[in-house]
Amino acid sequence: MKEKSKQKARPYSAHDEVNVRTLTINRDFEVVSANGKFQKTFGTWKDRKCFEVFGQSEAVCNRCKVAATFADGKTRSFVMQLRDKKGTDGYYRIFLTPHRDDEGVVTHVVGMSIDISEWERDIEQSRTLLDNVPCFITVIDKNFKILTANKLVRETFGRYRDLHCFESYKGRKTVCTNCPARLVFDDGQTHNSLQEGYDKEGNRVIYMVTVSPYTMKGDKVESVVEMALDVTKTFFLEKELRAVRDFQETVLHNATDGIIASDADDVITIYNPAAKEILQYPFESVIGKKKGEDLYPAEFIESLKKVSRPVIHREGKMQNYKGKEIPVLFSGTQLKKRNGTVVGKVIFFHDLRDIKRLEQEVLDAERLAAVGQTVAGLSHGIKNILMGLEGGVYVVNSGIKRNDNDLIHQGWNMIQNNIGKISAFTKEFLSFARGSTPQVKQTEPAAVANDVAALYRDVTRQSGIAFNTQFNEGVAAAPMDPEGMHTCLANLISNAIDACLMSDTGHPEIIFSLFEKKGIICYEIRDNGCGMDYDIKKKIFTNFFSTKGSGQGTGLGLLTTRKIVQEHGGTISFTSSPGEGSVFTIELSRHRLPVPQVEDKQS
Amino acid sequence: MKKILIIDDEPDVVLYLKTILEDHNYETCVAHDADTGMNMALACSPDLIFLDIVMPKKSGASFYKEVKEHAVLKDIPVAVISGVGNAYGLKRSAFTDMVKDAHVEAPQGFFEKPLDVAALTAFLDEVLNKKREV
Repeated sequence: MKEKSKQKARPYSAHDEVNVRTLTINRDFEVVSANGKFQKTFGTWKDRKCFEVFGQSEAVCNRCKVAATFADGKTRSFVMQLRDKKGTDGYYRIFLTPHRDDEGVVTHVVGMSIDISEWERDIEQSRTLLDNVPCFITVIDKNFKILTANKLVRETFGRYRDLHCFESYKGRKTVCTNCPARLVFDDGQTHNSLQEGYDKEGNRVIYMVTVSPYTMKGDKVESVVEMALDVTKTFFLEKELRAVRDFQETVLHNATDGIIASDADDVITIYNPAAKEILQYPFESVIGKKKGEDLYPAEFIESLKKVSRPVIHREGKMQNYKGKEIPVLFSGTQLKKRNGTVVGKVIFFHDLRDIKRLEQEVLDAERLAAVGQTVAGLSHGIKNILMGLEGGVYVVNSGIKRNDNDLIHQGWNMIQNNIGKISAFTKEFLSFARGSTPQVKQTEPAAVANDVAALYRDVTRQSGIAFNTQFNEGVAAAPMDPEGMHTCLANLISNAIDACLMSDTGHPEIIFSLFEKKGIICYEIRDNGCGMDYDIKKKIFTNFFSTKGSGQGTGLGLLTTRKIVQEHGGTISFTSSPGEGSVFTIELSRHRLPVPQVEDKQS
Repeated sequence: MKKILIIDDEPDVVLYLKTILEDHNYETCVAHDADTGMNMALACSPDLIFLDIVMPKKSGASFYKEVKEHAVLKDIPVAVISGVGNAYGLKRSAFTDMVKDAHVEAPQGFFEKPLDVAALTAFLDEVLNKKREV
């Protein structure tokens, strides 16, 4: 712009119309001309220096741009705060242009100013807005240089000025391979992407970024705005949740126990593969379709409701898809919210079929062992009788040789006694053999005990033995062979009586009791008789023999007793000390008792 | 005449043994349990003791240990008579196990029921005559 006129600024009427204020300043900083708009804003200017007009100061401003223009003759543009005639500060975009004379010397500077206060206010507001948005906002140019960044970016990533976005966000030296901004520059569309960077302390930051075009040049995108939401916490929470979920799924999937969970309405929500394996119902027919009560027994659900803690290890039966009963071991718990509201329940069940089979095998093995011991016991009994017979014959012969009638008589008695023993032995042996097929039916345990007790009341009274019974009548009926159990108890009480008779205790006593603990029916026979010492105790259950005198006991009593108890899946055990007495205990575990063969309609 | 103490709770065995021993010119004394047996041993100083293992109250094994630890009685030979026999593997070692003391010497004789009379008398001759020679 080479203007020759150095007189008053030409009166551009247009200048007065547009919102532009113009003035001309000479080297003495005196305003030599100005347009109407200028005067209207800043007041009178005639004979005043520019810095006086703007009320900035009384001397030339520090770093005066007009002085600089006079010095270097270059045009400049800048934003400056100026005070108008009313004393209001405003922002102005100012353009300074040098005016040269014919010799090229700058004689005047022409200034034009545009009031941009409102823009600035808008920008200020936008900046405040941007700074308060809870996400990272940056504007970047085509070269990925950050033009501006909001407070959260500054606080989180630190430096951004003159940096590429990849440097600031990630500490990288090159553009990211999955850069969404590049896509925006290419197609002008908005793009989203999950990115990972590092904050100024080096911590991982995961953010979801949305990039949109910001400024355009023609149809080319000049700059883009990146808005990124910090999802680090969410990301890690999600990851953790996924891990927990994966773990649960793995546990559910691989558990060998059946697991069924149902919601507050008892509708089944979880039915794991092991549950399917046991129950055979197809998945699709159970989840969301069946209720928990359709699958497990009502009494188990009741027991769950009754207690606040988990119910563990309760035996029961479930019906599978084909209607077959499966013995299982239940555990379970109600699922509750913190406030106690029941939101569902989860049941674990263990298939007991294998265990039941193993138990049966053990029972069979025990039975076989009992047979072996029976044979050994029998041979021992037979040996004793044989000895008695041989002895009798010897004594008789000897009596004949010695011509001793008394000795002959004694020998003959011995023979007779042993023949009598054979008869008793045979009878017991038959009863022992008979028991091989126990007649099992629902039986009141106390009824058997009462029968046996009645049988021995007279004998004990005559022998001066106190006979006390303690039967818990509440022990529920159980499948057993009443006759077999009668034999067992009779044998043990008969032994206890003998033990009392063999002892010289002043107050012989037998306590016969019946009780149940944890599903085990117990018969206990306690005496304060002679007891047994180590040697006898060691033999009593490996070899059955009699310690009773001639003609009393065959050695089969305990053998028979043990056999019958074993046929009931039970055990017989004892404790004993010489001179103090013995305690024999028959323990019958309910879940091992045989299945009734004879249905007792009355029970 | 040599004196032999029989300790057994079974009258049949006692009578049988007593008769055999008398037939072979031995004097006998009898006890039906271990405690009486101990008193008899002290009272009649037997040359040999026949001992049953399984008896009420105190067993033959316990009695045996007491005898072998007794200052006066420990040198009396003991023969064990048992129905518990070979079928149950009762050997000399098993007997000392029963006595629960390895330092106690094994009994001099073992006899099973039913009795082998010839073996029994041969044993008596050997043990008691040997003793006489010493």
